[in-house]
Amino acid sequence: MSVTLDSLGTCLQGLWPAMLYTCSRDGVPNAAYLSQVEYVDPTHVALSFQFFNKSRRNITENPHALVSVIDPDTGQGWCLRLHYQHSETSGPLFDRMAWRIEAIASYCGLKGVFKLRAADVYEVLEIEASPEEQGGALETPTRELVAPEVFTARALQDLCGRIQSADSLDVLVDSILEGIEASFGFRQSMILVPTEESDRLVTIATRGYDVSGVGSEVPVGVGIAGVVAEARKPIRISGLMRGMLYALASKRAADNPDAYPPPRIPLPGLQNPDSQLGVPLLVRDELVGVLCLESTAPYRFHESDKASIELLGSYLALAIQNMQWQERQGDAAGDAAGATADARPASAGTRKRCEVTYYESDECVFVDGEYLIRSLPARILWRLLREHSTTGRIEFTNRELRLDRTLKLPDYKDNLESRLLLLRRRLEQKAPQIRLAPRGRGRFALELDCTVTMSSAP
Amino acid sequence: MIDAELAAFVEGGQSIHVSTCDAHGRPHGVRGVAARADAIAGHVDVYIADIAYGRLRPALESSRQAAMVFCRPTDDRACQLKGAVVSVRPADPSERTMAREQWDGFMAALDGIGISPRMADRWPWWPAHVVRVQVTAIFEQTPGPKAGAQLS
Repeated sequence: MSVTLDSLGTCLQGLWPAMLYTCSRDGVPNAAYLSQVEYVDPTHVALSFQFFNKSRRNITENPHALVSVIDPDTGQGWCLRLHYQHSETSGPLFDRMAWRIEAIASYCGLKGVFKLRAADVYEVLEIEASPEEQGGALETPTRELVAPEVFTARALQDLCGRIQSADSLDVLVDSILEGIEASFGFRQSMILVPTEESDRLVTIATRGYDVSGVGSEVPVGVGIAGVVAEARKPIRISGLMRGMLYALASKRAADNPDAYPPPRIPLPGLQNPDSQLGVPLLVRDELVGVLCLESTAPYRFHESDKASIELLGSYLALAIQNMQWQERQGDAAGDAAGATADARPASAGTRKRCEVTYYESDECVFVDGEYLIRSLPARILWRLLREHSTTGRIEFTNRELRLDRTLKLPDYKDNLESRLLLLRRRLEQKAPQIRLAPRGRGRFALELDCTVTMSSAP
Repeated sequence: MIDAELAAFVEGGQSIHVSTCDAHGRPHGVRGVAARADAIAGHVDVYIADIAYGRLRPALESSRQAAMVFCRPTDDRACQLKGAVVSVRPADPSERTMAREQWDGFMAALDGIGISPRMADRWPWWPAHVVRVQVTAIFEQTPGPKAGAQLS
C-alpha cells in the first residue's frame, strides 16, 4: 500500500464519524456509522463492536469490510479495505477503547448503556484515497482545525519553571493552571482530588470558567474526570463521537429527568466542549488527582501528544504530592505556635452578623442559608468556629486537626492540606467574611469580619 | 413505504453514503451528493459525483443492489434505505441547482457542528450520475441500541 496506516493517525480521532461498509453472505450491502477505529499496529486496526446489528452479523458471515475515514487536517477521505481477524474482549486494546466509550457515555449521562462488547481486529489489506473527498494542505494556517502541536518540550519546560517557584499547595495548583494556559494555550482547566470517600473527586482549582466551581464533586466513574480516575489512564475526546451519543443522552434525559439530580455545586465546564483531555495524576499507583482540559476547538489534542501528556501527569502528581508532604512537615513547627496563640480577639472589621448552620446528618455547613461545603472540610470549619466561640482562639495548626479524632480523618494519607485549601477557597467565594489565613507552614488563623451565630441541626 | 416525512428527510441536505457489493463479496462505498425521493413510486434517486460513481460502477452493475445511509449531522438522526438498482443515468444540467442546494445544506450542517465547510471545499460534487433505487427496506440508523432495526 502506498499510504501507510501510521500516517492516518489523525483520521482515527473520531472528529468525523467513520463509515463501515459490509455485505451479507448473499451480497446485500450495509453501511453504518462506527464510533471508533483504533490503530493497533502498522497493518491492523480495531473497530468498536457495541451493538448486535447488521454489520456485526455480516462480518460473522463474510469477513470483508471497508471503512471510510476523513483526515480532519486536510479533508482527505481514505478507504481502508479490511479483513476480519479476531475479537478481543479484554486486554490493553479493549481497555483503551472501552474507557473512551465509557467516558463519552458517562459525559452524556449514559454510563452503562454504551458498553464495548469487543474490539474487532481487522487486517488492513489496502488503503486508497476517496476521490470524492479530495483534501490537500490547506493554505491558511488560521484554520481552526489545524491545531499546532501542544505539548512541546519548550512548553513543558516553561510549565516546570512556574511550578518550581510555588511555595504552598494553594500557589502550586494555581500555578499549574496558569502555566497550562500560558505554556499550552488551554484557557479552561481544572484540578480535582480524591475526597476521603473512596468514590468521589472534588474540584480544588479551576481556571477560565465563568463560575469557579471549586468544591464541586464528581463520582469516580462519571464524566471525563471520574472515568480518568477509574481507568487511571489519560482520556482524550474529540468532536463528533461525543456528539453522536449526545443526541441519545438528551432523549434519555427527557424520558427520565430525575435520573441525574443536579449537584449542589455544579461542575464548571464549557457548554459545548469539542475537545476534552483528562490526565490522571499518579505517583506509584496512588491517585493524587485528575487534571482536565477543555477546548472549543473540535480537534485539539494530537496523537503525538500522548507520551507528553502522561509525562506531564506524572510530573504534576509528584509536584502536588511533594508540596503536601512539605506542608505536613510544618506540623511540628506549628505545634508551639498553636499553643501560644490563644484568646486573641478576631479582627474587628464591619462586624456584620453571619449565621452558620451545621447539619449533622449530612455533615454539611450552610452560611446565611446557603450551602457552603460538606464532609471533612465542613467538620473542620465547624470545629474551628466552636473552638473560637468558646476559647477565643484564632490560631490553629494542621497537626492539632490531624490529631483530633472527632474530625474522623483517615489514618493513612488524609490529604488534610488539600481539604483546607478547598475550605479556604469555598469561603473566599461564598463567605469572604470568614477567612482561613495562612500563618506559615502548618499553621493558619481564623479571621472573622462578622459576628458568627452558630446553630446545628440533626 | 416512503412517507412524506422520510422523503423530506432524504431530500434535506444530509450526509449521504451509498454502498454495494461486488462479485467477490467485497463491499464498496462512496459519498453521495443529493437525493430525491418519490413516495408514490417508492424509489429514491441518489446523486453521486462522477468521480465517485466511477469507483462504484463495476460492483453496482454486477450486484444491482444498493444501500443508502442518510444522516443529519446536527443531531445524528439517520436511516438506511436498501433496494434494487433500477436505472443509472448522467445527471441533467437542470438538476444541478437542486443538487447544489442539498450539498450546501450539508455544508451548513457541518458548520453547525463546528466543522469548517472549508475542509470539504475540494470535494467534487458535479457532474454527477443518478442511481435510481427501488426501495425494499428501511432501517433505523441513528447511533445507539436501535440502530439497524427495520422500520418498514
